[in-house]
Amino acid sequence: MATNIKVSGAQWGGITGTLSNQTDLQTTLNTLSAIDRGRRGFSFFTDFIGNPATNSVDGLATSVATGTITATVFIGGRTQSTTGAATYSTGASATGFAYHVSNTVAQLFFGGGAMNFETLVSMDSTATSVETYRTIHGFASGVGASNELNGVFFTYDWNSSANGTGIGNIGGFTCISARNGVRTISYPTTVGTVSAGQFYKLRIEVNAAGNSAAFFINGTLAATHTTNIPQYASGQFIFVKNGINKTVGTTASAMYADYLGFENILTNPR
Amino acid sequence: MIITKYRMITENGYIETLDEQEAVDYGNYVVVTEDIPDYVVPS
Repeated sequence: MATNIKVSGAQWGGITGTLSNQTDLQTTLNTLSAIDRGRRGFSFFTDFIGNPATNSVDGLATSVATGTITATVFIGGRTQSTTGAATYSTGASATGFAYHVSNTVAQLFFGGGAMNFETLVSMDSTATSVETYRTIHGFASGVGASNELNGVFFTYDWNSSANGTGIGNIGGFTCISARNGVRTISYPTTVGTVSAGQFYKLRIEVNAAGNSAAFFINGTLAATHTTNIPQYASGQFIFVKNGINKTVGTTASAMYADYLGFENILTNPR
Repeated sequence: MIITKYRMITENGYIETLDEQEAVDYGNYVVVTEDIPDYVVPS
């Protein structure tokens, strides 16, 4: 897997010497205090050990309508490596949704340093023509069910045509970048049709300059976008978003997440 | 706000642009209109 960390000079945030790869950088960072590391960016990870519906964690908030986010014991595809897990349920509503967002206010942005997102998710059941839903995984800008104005994200969207997906990729993950409603869309063939009860590792790496986004599915590069990525200079802010949205039918649909993580490595530490 | 976009069809998806000339130069494109909400920059 590619790394977005490019530290090769003599100084980065007061760190001197030659840091030629991510291992070197991580080793150096581990010697720093929490504040000193924090000035160089942030890194958030949750294994959903605690209550996933709690809003009190810095870096995670809920955005739900009819839907719920709960701790989960029995889920399809679970292994002994699947420690904490969260269930995102749409509830019994044709418009219900359940999302985690990093903040209900979009205040993150690309271009200030490498930005990465990763989650491990599975679907309780695949969508059908009478019970349809869509999911969002990555960076987005809308707290609810509307199309994402800005973002870089995966979606599993069964024929609902939200976010410009149309019917080009029924049953599979779609990679989307959107800048003020103008989109780039890729229909990767990396994993084909999504299966219920199977976990998928979805990772997005946006480079430090904010002009290239790489989408990985189960560790394999699925798509690279270099167009229509939100820009800080244009005031196009984003947040992290992960969850599910009902689109047709009133039977609750559910998505599971084993973990959720995102990070930003600042180009110019504070 | 209704915007007009030029959707350039690629092998496995598409790339939209607001630049009609870019789409013309690309060749394989369709014109799309979409109503998008006005974006409010966070204060």
